Amino acid sequence: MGKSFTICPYCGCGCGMYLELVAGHMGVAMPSQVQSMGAGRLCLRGWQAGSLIGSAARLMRPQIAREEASWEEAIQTASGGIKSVLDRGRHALGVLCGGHLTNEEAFACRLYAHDILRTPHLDSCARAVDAGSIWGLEHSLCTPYRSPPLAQITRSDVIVCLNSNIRWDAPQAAGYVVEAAGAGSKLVVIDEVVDEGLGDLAALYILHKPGFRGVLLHLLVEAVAGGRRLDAEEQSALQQAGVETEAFHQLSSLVQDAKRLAVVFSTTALQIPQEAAYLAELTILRQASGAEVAQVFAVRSDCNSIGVVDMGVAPVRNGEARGLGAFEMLSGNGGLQGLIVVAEAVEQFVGQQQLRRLREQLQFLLYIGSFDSATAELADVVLPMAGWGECEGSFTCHDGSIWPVCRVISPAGQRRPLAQILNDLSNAHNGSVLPTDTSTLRAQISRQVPSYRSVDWAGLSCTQPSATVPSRDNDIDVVNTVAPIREWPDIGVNGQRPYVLVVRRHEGSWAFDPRVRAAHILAREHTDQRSPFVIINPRTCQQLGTREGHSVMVSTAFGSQLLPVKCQAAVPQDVVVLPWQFRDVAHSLAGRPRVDDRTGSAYHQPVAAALELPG
Amino acid sequence: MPPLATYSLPADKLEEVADRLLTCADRVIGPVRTPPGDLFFDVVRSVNEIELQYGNSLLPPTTALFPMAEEIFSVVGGTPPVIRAPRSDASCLLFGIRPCDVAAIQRLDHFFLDGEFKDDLYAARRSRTAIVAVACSQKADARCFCSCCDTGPFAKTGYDLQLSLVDDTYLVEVGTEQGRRLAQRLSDLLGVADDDLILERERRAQELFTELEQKGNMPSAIRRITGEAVSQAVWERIGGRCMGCGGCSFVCPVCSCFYVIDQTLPDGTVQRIRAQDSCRLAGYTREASGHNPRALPSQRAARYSYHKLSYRYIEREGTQGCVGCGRCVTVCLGGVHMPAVTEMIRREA
Amino acid sequence: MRGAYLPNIAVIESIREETPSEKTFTLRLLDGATISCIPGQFIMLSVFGRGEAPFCVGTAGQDMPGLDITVRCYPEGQVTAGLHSLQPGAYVGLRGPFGNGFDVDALHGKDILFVAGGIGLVPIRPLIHYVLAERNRFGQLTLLYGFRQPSEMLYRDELAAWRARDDFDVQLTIDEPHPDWEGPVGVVTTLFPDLQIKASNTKAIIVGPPVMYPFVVAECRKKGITDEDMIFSLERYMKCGIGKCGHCAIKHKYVCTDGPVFTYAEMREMAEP
Repeated sequence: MGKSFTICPYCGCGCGMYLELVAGHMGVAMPSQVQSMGAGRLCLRGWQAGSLIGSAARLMRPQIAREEASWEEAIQTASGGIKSVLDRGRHALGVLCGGHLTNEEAFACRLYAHDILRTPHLDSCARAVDAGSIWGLEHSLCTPYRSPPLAQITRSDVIVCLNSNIRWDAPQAAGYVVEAAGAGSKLVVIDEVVDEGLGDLAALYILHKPGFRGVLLHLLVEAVAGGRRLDAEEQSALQQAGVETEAFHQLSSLVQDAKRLAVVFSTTALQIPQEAAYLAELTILRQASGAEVAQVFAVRSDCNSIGVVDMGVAPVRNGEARGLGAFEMLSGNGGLQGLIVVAEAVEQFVGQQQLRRLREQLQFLLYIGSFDSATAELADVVLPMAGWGECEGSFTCHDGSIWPVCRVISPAGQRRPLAQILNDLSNAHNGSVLPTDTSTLRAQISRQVPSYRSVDWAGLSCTQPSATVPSRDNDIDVVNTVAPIREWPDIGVNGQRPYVLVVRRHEGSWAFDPRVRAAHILAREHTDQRSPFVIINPRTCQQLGTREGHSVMVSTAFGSQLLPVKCQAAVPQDVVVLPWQFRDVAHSLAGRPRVDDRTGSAYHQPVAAALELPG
Repeated sequence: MPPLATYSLPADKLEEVADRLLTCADRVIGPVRTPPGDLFFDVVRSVNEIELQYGNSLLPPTTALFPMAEEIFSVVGGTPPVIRAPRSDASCLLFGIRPCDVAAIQRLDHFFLDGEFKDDLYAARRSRTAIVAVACSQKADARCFCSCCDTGPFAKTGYDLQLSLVDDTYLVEVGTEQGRRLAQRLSDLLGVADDDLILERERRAQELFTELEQKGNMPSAIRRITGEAVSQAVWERIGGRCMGCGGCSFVCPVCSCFYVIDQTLPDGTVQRIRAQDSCRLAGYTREASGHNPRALPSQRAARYSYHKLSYRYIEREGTQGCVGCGRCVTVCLGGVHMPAVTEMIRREA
Repeated sequence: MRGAYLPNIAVIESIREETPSEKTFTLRLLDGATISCIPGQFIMLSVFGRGEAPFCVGTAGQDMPGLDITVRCYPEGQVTAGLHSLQPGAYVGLRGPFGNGFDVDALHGKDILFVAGGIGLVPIRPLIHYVLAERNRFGQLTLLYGFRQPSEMLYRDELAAWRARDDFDVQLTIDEPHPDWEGPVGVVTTLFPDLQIKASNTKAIIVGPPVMYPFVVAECRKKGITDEDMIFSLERYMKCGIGKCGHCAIKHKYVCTDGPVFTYAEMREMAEP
C-alpha cells in the first residue's frame, strides 16, 4: 500500500519521511519535502531507516534465560520476577525506557510504572543525556524549553555553533547551518577540535582547551552583558582556556552586533548545565539589547526525547519519594533489585562491563524491545515488541510539534505492541487492565498531560504540526543568573602526562545503537567504529614514532590501556580524543562519570594523559 | 535522431490522452502527489491524480526501472535449497517524465543492458516499459540545469512518445515502434503537425535554452577532472563538507550502484535484496580485512565526480553522468551538490 | 539459462584447515553441472542468509565438476565467518567464474617470477599448477612467498612438493623471527637482492596485500622488469561480479570485468587521488 508518511526514528531533528514496503518485507525510506523539519533532506540514518523493517537483528520471540519461550510462559516468568522484587518494596524496582518510544507507548509505560508497579524510579537514558543542557536552558529561560523549528537557523545573521558533533548527532541542524553560512550568515564555531566541514565555512573558529568551554562561555556572557573588556583575572582565565584575546574580542563583538542570533548545538555536546545556561543568557541579553531575534536551537538526542518526558517518563521527585535517574539506576548505587528496560540498549550509555556488574547486583532484569542487544542478552526474560513501522503513534519533535508515526506492516514474528505487553504484565501482576489501543491512550494523554490537552489527535497532520508547548519566541525577561565559574578546571596536565584526553561524540557515536546495527548499510558504515581506538594529531603520531593502526599505551590517573590510533589533523597536538561510544574504555581512562545531582546527567571530565609506545 | 512521426494534439485533449494511456499498460507510473503534498512517480489510478506542472520530484522516475530496493531471489531451505527468482511480467508506462530523466534512462539502458553482461532485473523491467515524455516549456524547477548538460528542454531521443506544449497545442513526437503503437490508440485525437508547429517548438526551446542558466561550469569540470587538474585541496574541501548521507546518489537518476543484503524471514526463507548504495559512504569500498582504499571523504568526493564527469566514463557510457535534474541540490546537507562542485572546480581554475 | 544473479547450488565436499584462520573448501556443483575456469578468475560464493562475496578460484580447468577455494576468516566479514562455520555437506551458492584471469598464452616461453604475500598465494596457485603441468613451455620458474609467521604458511604439502623439484626455485620468508623457523626472515622484498633473473624475458606475477605492492614494484624495477611485465591480481569489495554494482570500480576500470588481473602499466593509469 504505497508510501506512508512518518517521522525518522533516530535523532531529535524529526525529519519527515515516507516509508514504503518492497518485496513484501523490506522498507525503504524517502524524504518529504513539504514537511518543515527535513525539507527533503535526510542524513544516512534517515535514508536507511527503512531497512529496520525486515532486519535479521530483530527480536522475534519471547525468551526466558535466552531460550525461546511462549508468550504465556514469558509473561508468567516476568511477572513472577517483578513480584519477587516488589516484595522488597516498590523502591526496589526501576523502569528505564528508550527515547524513541512513541508518545502513546511512553504514556503506557508511565501508567504501568506509576499505577501498577507504583515505583518512583522511571526514566529514559535519552532524557538523562539531554538533561544537562535542558536544565541549563530552562534555568535561564525560566520556561519549558522547546527549540524553534530548525529551518529558522537560516534567518540568522550570526550563528554560534557549539561543537562540530551536530554533523553526526543532528545532521539536519548542521545542514541548515551550512545553508545559512553559504548565504552569508557569519558562523562562529566553538570547539575543542577543528572540524573540517563546518570549519571551512566559519567566519571565526574558537579552538579552546578541553574542559574550558564553561569558562569561555561565562566570559562571553560577561563581555556581552557589560560591553566591556575583561579584567585581569578574566584575562588569565581566557589564557588558560587557550583562546587568544583578539579572537575573543572578535567573538564578543560578533555576538554583540548580531541582529538575528542563533545558538546551535546538540544536547549531547553539553552536559554541564552551566554551559547551556550561559548560552541561554546570551540570547536573552541580545534580545534585550537590540537584536531582532536571538534563539537557542538545541537538538535532542533521540527522536522522541521530548514526548517521552512530556508523557511523564522521568523520575518522580516529590516530598515522599525521590525517583532515581537513569544513570543512578545503572550505576548500581541506588539499591535497585530489579530493572525493567524498555526499548533501550543501555550498554550504549554505561558500557558492557558496568552493565554486567549491574546485572550481578540485580535479582531480576526484564528486557522489552525490538532489537537484540547486550542488555537483552543479560536479561532473565526478553519480550519482543513491535518496532517503528509496525505500530502507529506520534512523536513530539524538537519544536514541540506533534507528528504521526505510521504503521506499514504488522508486527513480525511474535512481536506485540508495547501497550499490549504492558497490559499483559499488569494483568498477570494483579489483574489490572491498561489501555492498549492508540485512541484510548490518546484520550488519556489529553486528560492527564496538561500541555497535550488541546491536541487534535484525529487531525494529526503530516504538514501542519500540532504545537503543544509554545516555543520560546515569546518575550522572556526573567533571568536566573547562573553562578559564575570562578574555579578553573585543573586537568592536571604536566610533564608526565602532557596530553588531555577527552571523551567526545564523533561520527561513530551511534555504532552500538541496535537500530544502527540492524539497518544493513548503516551497520556496514559503523563496522570500523566498534572496536576501541583513540584519535590523535598526525604530528603527535609522528613524534611518538608510530603510525595509524598501530597501538599506543594511553595512561591517566585512572588507568592505562593499549589502543590503536587513528590520525586526524582536526585534533590539536596536545589532545587525545576517545570516541564516546567506547564506554568501557572511557570508564577505565577517565574514571566513573560525574552524575549531576540536579539533572541526573552524567559526563566525563577531560583528564591528563600520557602516550607511550608499547613495550 | 529525428522522430519517426509527428502529430499535433489540442492541449485540452491531454486528459483524454492520459486516460487512454492508462489502459495501455498494467501499471501507469506518473507524477502524483501524496496526501501531505509530496510529488512522487507512483502508480496512477485515475487521470486527475496526474500533475504535469510539477517541480522536479525528489526521487526520480528511474526508480520504476531500478527501484531503491528489490528482491533478486529468495532461497527456500532444504537439501538442496531451492532458488526462486521473482517474476515480473507486468507492463509499465512511464507517463509525464521530463527530458532530463529520459536522458538518464538512456544512460542506464547503456550501462545495464549493453556490454558483456546484462542486468537481468533491469532488463526485465525495461523491456516492458514505455516512456511518454513531456517536454519542458518553462524552467521546471528553481534548481535544475539541463541547459548545462544538453539534456533539455526537450528530448531528442530515448522516448516512445514525447509531448511538447506550444501555446494551446501539443507537438506529439513518435520515437519508436512502441510509440507508434501507442499513437495508433490515440489516432482519432491526433492531427497533422505542420512545419510551423515543429519550428515554433524549436524556437521556443531555443528561447528557453538561452534563458536558462548558461554557465560553462560543466564542460570546464569535465576537462579538469579528466585531466586530473583538480587540486587535492578542492576535493578536501568538498569531502570535509560532505556529511556522508548518500542522498546525492539515492536521488540521482543516473546513479546505479547497489548493495546486496541477505535477510532471513521469520519462516526461514532467505531473501536476497539489492538496495541502492552510494560511493559517498565509507563502507562502500571497505573490505572484510578492514582495508579501505577510499577511506577519506575527499577520495570519495573525487570518485563521485570522476564517475559522473570524467571523459573516460563518458567514453565508456556514451553520455555524462549528470543530466542536470537538480535533485542533489535539494538533498545535499553540506551544500556540495553537483552545481556547487562544478563551481568550486571552475573557481579554482 | 539462469540469470546472471542467480547462483547455482553447490555442496561443500570437504574442508581442509590450511592455517588457524584459513580453510580450503572443495565445492561440487549439483546435478552433474560443470564449471570451466582459467587461473586468476574468481567466483561469487553465497552463504545463504549471510551474503555473497568474491573468492579466487583455487583450481582451474575445463568442465570441472567443482572447484577449490581458500578463504581467510574475518570476524567482521559476514560471508567468510559464515563459510568457516559450515561443515562438509552444507550447501552454498556459486556464480561465475568471472574476471579476465591470467593471460596464460602471453606467458608461454617466458621466465616466470611469482611473488606472493600472505593469502596472495591463493590466486597464484592455479597458475603454478598450469605452469608446472606444461613445464616445458616455460623458462626459469621462481616463487617468492612471504608470510607473517610459520603457522600462516598455506598449502604446506604442495609447497614441499614444489620445493623438491629442481626446475622450480621456491623461496620462503617470514616477517618476524620465530623459534620454529630456520629460513630467511624479512618481508618478501628482502629476497630480491640475491635473485638471478633475465629481466628481458621475465614476467612477474605479484599478489599480496596492497601495502606490499609499492615495495615489490620498486624491487622489480631495480631488476629491470618493465611495468608491462609486472602482473597483479587486485582485490576489491564487490557485490555482483559483472560490472554493475559499482563497488570495485577504480577510475574507469572495473576490477570484476576489466580485471582482476592488471599489469602495472594499467594500474598506473588507475591511480586515484
